[in-house]
Amino acid sequence: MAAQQSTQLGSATGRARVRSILVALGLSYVIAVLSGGAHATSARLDFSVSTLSFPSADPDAVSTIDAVENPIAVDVTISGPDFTMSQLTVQAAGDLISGPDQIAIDRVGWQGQGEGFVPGPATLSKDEPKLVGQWVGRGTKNGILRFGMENSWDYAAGAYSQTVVYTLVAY
Amino acid sequence: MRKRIAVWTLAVACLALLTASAVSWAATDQQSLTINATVSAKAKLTLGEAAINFPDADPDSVPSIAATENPVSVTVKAQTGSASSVTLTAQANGDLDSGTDTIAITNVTWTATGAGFVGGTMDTSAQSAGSWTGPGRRDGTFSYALANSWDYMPGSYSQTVVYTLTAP
Repeated sequence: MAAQQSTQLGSATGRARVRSILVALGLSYVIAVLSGGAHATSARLDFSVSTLSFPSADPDAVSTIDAVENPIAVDVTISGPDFTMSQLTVQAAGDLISGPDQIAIDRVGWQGQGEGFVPGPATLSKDEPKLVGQWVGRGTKNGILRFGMENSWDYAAGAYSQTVVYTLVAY
Repeated sequence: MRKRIAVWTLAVACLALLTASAVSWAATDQQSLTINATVSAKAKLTLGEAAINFPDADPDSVPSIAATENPVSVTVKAQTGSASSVTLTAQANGDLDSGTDTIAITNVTWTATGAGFVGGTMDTSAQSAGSWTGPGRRDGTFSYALANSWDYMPGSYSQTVVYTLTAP
Protein backbone atom coordinates (compact mmCIF):
# COMPACT_ATOMS: atom_id res chain seq x y z
CA MET A 1 0.00 0.00 0.00
CA ALA A 2 2.79 2.28 0.86
CA ALA A 3 4.44 1.41 -2.38
CA GLN A 4 1.25 2.23 -4.31
CA GLN A 5 0.92 5.63 -2.66
CA SER A 6 4.46 6.40 -3.50
CA THR A 7 3.85 5.54 -7.17
CA GLN A 8 0.87 7.84 -7.36
CA LEU A 9 2.83 10.68 -5.83
CA GLY A 10 5.67 10.05 -8.33
CA SER A 11 3.30 10.24 -11.28
CA ALA A 12 1.92 13.53 -10.10
CA THR A 13 5.39 14.95 -9.72
CA GLY A 14 6.39 13.70 -13.17
CA ARG A 15 3.40 15.34 -14.82
CA ALA A 16 4.21 18.54 -13.02
CA ARG A 17 7.77 18.41 -14.28
CA VAL A 18 6.65 17.79 -17.83
CA ARG A 19 4.33 20.77 -17.61
CA SER A 20 7.12 22.89 -16.21
CA ILE A 21 9.45 21.88 -19.04
CA LEU A 22 6.85 22.71 -21.66
CA VAL A 23 6.15 26.04 -20.01
CA ALA A 24 9.89 26.73 -19.81
CA LEU A 25 10.48 25.88 -23.46
CA GLY A 26 7.62 28.07 -24.54
CA LEU A 27 8.82 30.88 -22.34
CA SER A 28 12.40 30.57 -23.56
CA TYR A 29 11.25 30.60 -27.15
CA VAL A 30 9.32 33.81 -26.59
CA ILE A 31 12.25 35.37 -24.78
CA ALA A 32 14.71 34.24 -27.42
CA VAL A 33 12.58 35.70 -30.18
CA LEU A 34 12.14 38.97 -28.33
CA SER A 35 15.81 39.27 -27.44
CA GLY A 36 17.38 38.44 -30.77
CA GLY A 37 15.93 35.34 -32.22
CA ALA A 38 13.89 37.57 -34.48
CA HIS A 39 17.25 38.56 -36.02
CA ALA A 40 18.69 35.09 -36.59
CA THR A 41 22.40 35.52 -37.25
CA SER A 42 23.76 34.33 -40.55
CA ALA A 43 27.07 34.79 -42.34
CA ARG A 44 27.90 34.47 -45.99
CA LEU A 45 31.30 34.72 -47.63
CA ASP A 46 31.81 35.14 -51.35
CA PHE A 47 35.00 35.34 -53.39
CA SER A 48 35.19 36.39 -57.02
CA VAL A 49 37.53 33.46 -57.74
CA SER A 50 38.26 30.04 -56.34
CA THR A 51 41.82 29.76 -57.65
CA LEU A 52 44.90 31.94 -57.46
CA SER A 53 47.71 31.54 -59.97
CA PHE A 54 51.28 32.74 -59.71
CA PRO A 55 53.18 32.48 -63.00
CA SER A 56 56.88 31.84 -63.28
CA ALA A 57 59.09 34.91 -63.39
CA ASP A 58 62.75 35.89 -63.33
CA PRO A 59 63.57 36.58 -59.66
CA ASP A 60 66.01 39.30 -60.69
CA ALA A 61 63.33 41.16 -62.61
CA VAL A 62 60.27 40.34 -60.48
CA SER A 63 60.92 40.14 -56.76
CA THR A 64 57.23 39.67 -55.94
CA ILE A 65 54.93 37.85 -58.33
CA ASP A 66 51.38 39.19 -58.48
CA ALA A 67 48.53 36.71 -58.71
CA VAL A 68 47.05 36.66 -62.19
CA GLU A 69 43.56 37.09 -60.72
CA ASN A 70 44.32 40.26 -58.71
CA PRO A 71 42.35 42.02 -57.37
CA ILE A 72 40.11 39.45 -55.69
CA ALA A 73 36.70 40.72 -54.66
CA VAL A 74 35.44 39.56 -51.27
CA ASP A 75 31.89 40.04 -50.06
CA VAL A 76 31.00 39.47 -46.43
CA THR A 77 27.30 39.45 -45.65
CA ILE A 78 26.13 39.41 -42.06
CA SER A 79 22.59 39.39 -40.81
CA GLY A 80 21.59 39.51 -37.18
CA PRO A 81 21.35 41.97 -34.31
CA ASP A 82 22.96 45.39 -34.58
CA PHE A 83 25.77 44.35 -32.26
CA THR A 84 26.71 41.21 -34.18
CA MET A 85 30.49 40.82 -34.34
CA SER A 86 32.13 39.01 -37.21
CA GLN A 87 35.64 37.96 -38.07
CA LEU A 88 37.19 36.66 -41.28
CA THR A 89 40.34 34.58 -40.94
CA VAL A 90 42.47 32.51 -43.27
CA GLN A 91 44.67 29.50 -42.70
CA ALA A 92 46.62 27.41 -45.19
CA ALA A 93 46.46 23.64 -45.17
CA GLY A 94 50.22 23.50 -45.67
CA ASP A 95 53.12 24.77 -47.74
CA LEU A 96 52.99 24.97 -51.51
CA ILE A 97 53.77 21.47 -52.71
CA SER A 98 55.22 20.10 -55.94
CA GLY A 99 56.11 16.46 -55.44
CA PRO A 100 59.00 16.43 -52.97
CA ASP A 101 59.58 20.17 -53.32
CA GLN A 102 58.03 22.87 -51.19
CA ILE A 103 57.72 26.61 -51.08
CA ALA A 104 56.92 27.95 -47.62
CA ILE A 105 53.36 29.23 -47.59
CA ASP A 106 54.47 32.37 -45.78
CA ARG A 107 56.09 33.42 -49.06
CA VAL A 108 52.53 34.21 -50.13
CA GLY A 109 51.09 37.42 -48.79
CA TRP A 110 48.20 39.78 -49.36
CA GLN A 111 47.05 43.32 -48.91
CA GLY A 112 43.46 44.17 -48.10
CA GLN A 113 41.30 47.11 -48.97
CA GLY A 114 37.82 47.99 -47.82
CA GLU A 115 36.00 48.77 -44.59
CA GLY A 116 37.07 46.39 -41.87
CA PHE A 117 39.61 44.56 -43.98
CA VAL A 118 43.12 44.34 -42.54
CA PRO A 119 45.27 46.43 -44.89
CA GLY A 120 48.37 44.29 -44.37
CA PRO A 121 50.71 43.42 -45.82
CA ALA A 122 50.22 40.05 -44.20
CA THR A 123 51.43 36.57 -44.98
CA LEU A 124 49.65 33.24 -45.03
CA SER A 125 50.32 30.71 -42.32
CA LYS A 126 49.78 26.99 -42.01
CA ASP A 127 50.15 27.10 -38.23
CA GLU A 128 47.56 29.66 -37.19
CA PRO A 129 44.61 31.60 -38.59
CA LYS A 130 45.46 35.07 -39.81
CA LEU A 131 42.95 37.88 -39.44
CA VAL A 132 41.63 39.18 -42.74
CA GLY A 133 38.90 41.47 -41.47
CA GLN A 134 36.49 42.15 -38.65
CA TRP A 135 33.26 44.04 -38.34
CA VAL A 136 30.45 45.01 -35.97
CA GLY A 137 26.86 45.02 -37.10
CA ARG A 138 24.97 43.53 -39.99
CA GLY A 139 25.13 44.26 -43.65
CA THR A 140 27.39 43.54 -46.60
CA LYS A 141 31.05 44.50 -46.50
CA ASN A 142 32.87 44.64 -49.81
CA GLY A 143 36.61 44.46 -50.03
CA ILE A 144 39.42 43.41 -52.28
CA LEU A 145 42.51 41.34 -51.66
CA ARG A 146 45.71 41.47 -53.68
CA PHE A 147 48.00 38.49 -53.44
CA GLY A 148 51.71 38.30 -54.10
CA MET A 149 54.36 35.60 -53.85
CA GLU A 150 57.93 36.38 -52.97
CA ASN A 151 60.17 35.17 -55.78
CA SER A 152 63.47 33.41 -55.28
CA TRP A 153 66.18 31.54 -57.14
CA ASP A 154 65.95 28.97 -54.37
CA TYR A 155 62.65 27.61 -55.69
CA ALA A 156 62.87 24.26 -57.43
CA ALA A 157 61.17 24.13 -60.79
CA GLY A 158 57.71 22.61 -60.62
CA ALA A 159 53.97 23.12 -60.45
CA TYR A 160 53.03 23.94 -56.87
CA SER A 161 49.63 23.90 -55.25
CA GLN A 162 47.94 24.32 -51.89
CA THR A 163 44.54 25.11 -50.42
CA VAL A 164 43.75 27.93 -48.04
CA VAL A 165 40.51 28.15 -46.11
CA TYR A 166 38.75 31.39 -45.30
CA THR A 167 36.42 31.22 -42.32
CA LEU A 168 33.82 33.83 -41.52
CA VAL A 169 32.35 33.71 -38.03
CA ALA A 170 29.53 35.94 -36.80
CA TYR A 171 28.33 35.93 -33.20
CA MET B 1 6.61 20.92 -3.96
CA ARG B 2 5.57 24.10 -5.78
CA LYS B 3 8.91 25.66 -4.88
CA ARG B 4 10.82 22.71 -6.33
CA ILE B 5 8.80 22.85 -9.53
CA ALA B 6 9.42 26.58 -9.82
CA VAL B 7 13.16 26.10 -9.40
CA TRP B 8 13.12 23.28 -11.93
CA THR B 9 11.17 25.44 -14.37
CA LEU B 10 13.62 28.31 -13.98
CA ALA B 11 16.63 26.07 -14.56
CA VAL B 12 15.18 24.54 -17.68
CA ALA B 13 14.17 27.97 -18.95
CA CYS B 14 17.68 29.33 -18.52
CA LEU B 15 19.19 26.34 -20.28
CA ALA B 16 16.74 26.60 -23.13
CA LEU B 17 17.31 30.32 -23.42
CA LEU B 18 21.06 29.89 -23.58
CA THR B 19 20.71 27.19 -26.18
CA ALA B 20 18.32 29.20 -28.25
CA SER B 21 20.57 32.24 -28.02
CA ALA B 22 23.68 30.34 -29.00
CA VAL B 23 21.97 28.73 -31.93
CA SER B 24 20.54 31.97 -33.19
CA TRP B 25 23.64 34.15 -32.67
CA ALA B 26 26.55 32.05 -34.00
CA ALA B 27 26.98 31.59 -37.72
CA THR B 28 29.90 30.60 -39.90
CA ASP B 29 30.74 30.30 -43.56
CA GLN B 30 33.85 29.01 -45.26
CA GLN B 31 35.41 29.39 -48.69
CA SER B 32 38.45 27.59 -50.02
CA LEU B 33 40.98 29.07 -52.40
CA THR B 34 43.39 26.92 -54.35
CA ILE B 35 46.77 28.51 -54.86
CA ASN B 36 48.78 27.41 -57.87
CA ALA B 37 52.33 28.54 -58.54
CA THR B 38 54.45 27.66 -61.52
CA VAL B 39 58.22 27.73 -61.35
CA SER B 40 59.76 27.12 -64.75
CA ALA B 41 63.35 25.98 -65.15
CA LYS B 42 65.62 28.91 -65.81
CA ALA B 43 69.29 29.75 -65.48
CA LYS B 44 71.25 32.96 -65.41
CA LEU B 45 75.01 33.49 -65.58
CA THR B 46 76.60 36.79 -64.74
CA LEU B 47 80.30 37.49 -65.29
CA GLY B 48 81.76 40.60 -63.74
CA GLU B 49 83.77 41.40 -66.85
CA ALA B 50 83.05 41.09 -70.54
CA ALA B 51 86.75 41.15 -71.46
CA ILE B 52 90.01 40.31 -69.74
CA ASN B 53 93.45 41.56 -70.70
CA PHE B 54 96.95 40.18 -70.27
CA PRO B 55 99.58 42.93 -70.46
CA ASP B 56 103.01 42.42 -71.96
CA ALA B 57 105.66 41.20 -69.54
CA ASP B 58 109.24 39.87 -69.43
CA PRO B 59 108.96 36.06 -69.53
CA ASP B 60 111.96 35.73 -67.23
CA SER B 61 110.50 37.91 -64.50
CA VAL B 62 106.80 37.16 -65.08
CA PRO B 63 106.38 33.57 -66.19
CA SER B 64 102.66 33.77 -65.58
CA ILE B 65 100.81 36.96 -66.49
CA ALA B 66 97.74 37.70 -64.40
CA ALA B 67 94.76 39.26 -66.07
CA THR B 68 94.37 42.92 -65.25
CA GLU B 69 90.74 42.36 -64.21
CA ASN B 70 91.45 39.61 -61.67
CA PRO B 71 89.49 38.47 -59.77
CA VAL B 72 86.45 38.34 -62.01
CA SER B 73 83.19 37.84 -60.18
CA VAL B 74 80.84 35.13 -61.39
CA THR B 75 77.30 34.45 -60.29
CA VAL B 76 75.28 31.42 -61.20
CA LYS B 77 71.52 31.36 -60.61
CA ALA B 78 69.18 28.55 -61.42
CA GLN B 79 65.65 27.44 -60.83
CA THR B 80 65.69 23.76 -61.57
CA GLY B 81 64.66 20.43 -60.11
CA SER B 82 65.82 19.83 -56.57
CA ALA B 83 67.92 16.87 -57.73
CA SER B 84 68.94 18.32 -61.10
CA SER B 85 72.54 19.04 -62.04
CA VAL B 86 73.58 22.60 -62.77
CA THR B 87 76.77 22.84 -64.83
CA LEU B 88 79.01 25.66 -66.00
CA THR B 89 81.48 25.14 -68.82
CA ALA B 90 84.01 27.31 -70.66
CA GLN B 91 84.91 26.77 -74.28
CA ALA B 92 87.28 28.83 -76.41
CA ASN B 93 86.39 29.51 -80.00
CA GLY B 94 90.04 28.97 -80.93
CA ASP B 95 93.58 29.95 -80.05
CA LEU B 96 94.61 33.52 -79.31
CA ASP B 97 95.03 35.16 -82.72
CA SER B 98 97.01 38.12 -83.93
CA GLY B 99 96.83 38.14 -87.68
CA THR B 100 98.64 35.02 -88.77
CA ASP B 101 100.24 34.47 -85.36
CA THR B 102 98.69 32.38 -82.65
CA ILE B 103 99.21 31.50 -79.02
CA ALA B 104 97.67 28.20 -77.99
CA ILE B 105 94.59 28.86 -75.87
CA THR B 106 95.73 26.13 -73.49
CA ASN B 107 98.29 28.66 -72.19
CA VAL B 108 95.39 30.40 -70.48
CA THR B 109 94.39 28.93 -67.14
CA TRP B 110 92.14 30.03 -64.32
CA THR B 111 91.64 29.41 -60.65
CA ALA B 112 88.33 29.63 -58.87
CA THR B 113 86.86 30.55 -55.51
CA GLY B 114 83.37 29.77 -54.30
CA ALA B 115 81.57 26.53 -53.57
CA GLY B 116 81.17 24.42 -56.68
CA PHE B 117 83.39 26.56 -58.92
CA VAL B 118 86.49 24.86 -60.31
CA GLY B 119 89.66 26.06 -61.98
CA GLY B 120 91.02 24.67 -65.23
CA THR B 121 92.75 25.18 -68.52
CA MET B 122 91.15 26.84 -71.52
CA ASP B 123 90.55 24.67 -74.52
CA THR B 124 88.58 24.55 -77.70
CA SER B 125 86.52 21.78 -76.12
CA ALA B 126 84.17 22.55 -73.25
CA GLN B 127 85.90 22.57 -69.86
CA SER B 128 84.07 22.35 -66.55
CA ALA B 129 84.07 25.58 -64.57
CA GLY B 130 81.57 24.52 -61.93
CA SER B 131 78.81 22.14 -60.98
CA TRP B 132 76.00 22.09 -58.42
CA THR B 133 72.82 20.23 -57.56
CA GLY B 134 69.43 21.86 -57.34
CA PRO B 135 68.20 25.44 -57.48
CA GLY B 136 69.82 28.48 -55.94
CA ARG B 137 72.31 31.28 -56.34
CA ARG B 138 76.05 30.66 -56.24
CA ASP B 139 78.75 33.33 -56.16
CA GLY B 140 82.42 32.89 -56.93
CA THR B 141 85.42 34.38 -58.69
CA PHE B 142 87.71 33.39 -61.52
CA SER B 143 91.32 34.56 -61.76
CA TYR B 144 93.00 34.13 -65.14
CA ALA B 145 96.64 33.69 -66.06
CA LEU B 146 98.57 33.42 -69.33
CA ALA B 147 101.73 31.33 -69.37
CA ASN B 148 104.45 33.70 -70.65
CA SER B 149 107.03 32.62 -73.21
CA TRP B 150 109.87 33.99 -75.33
CA ASP B 151 108.30 32.05 -78.18
CA TYR B 152 105.37 34.45 -78.55
CA MET B 153 105.42 36.72 -81.58
CA PRO B 154 104.81 40.41 -80.79
CA GLY B 155 101.23 41.39 -81.49
CA SER B 156 97.77 42.01 -80.08
CA TYR B 157 96.09 38.70 -79.59
CA SER B 158 92.42 38.09 -79.04
CA GLN B 159 89.94 35.29 -78.71
CA THR B 160 86.46 34.68 -77.39
CA VAL B 161 85.59 32.18 -74.69
CA VAL B 162 81.99 31.08 -74.26
CA TYR B 163 80.65 30.19 -70.82
CA THR B 164 77.59 27.99 -70.80
CA LEU B 165 75.35 27.46 -67.80
CA THR B 166 73.01 24.51 -68.03
CA ALA B 167 70.12 23.74 -65.68
CA PRO B 168 67.61 21.21 -66.96
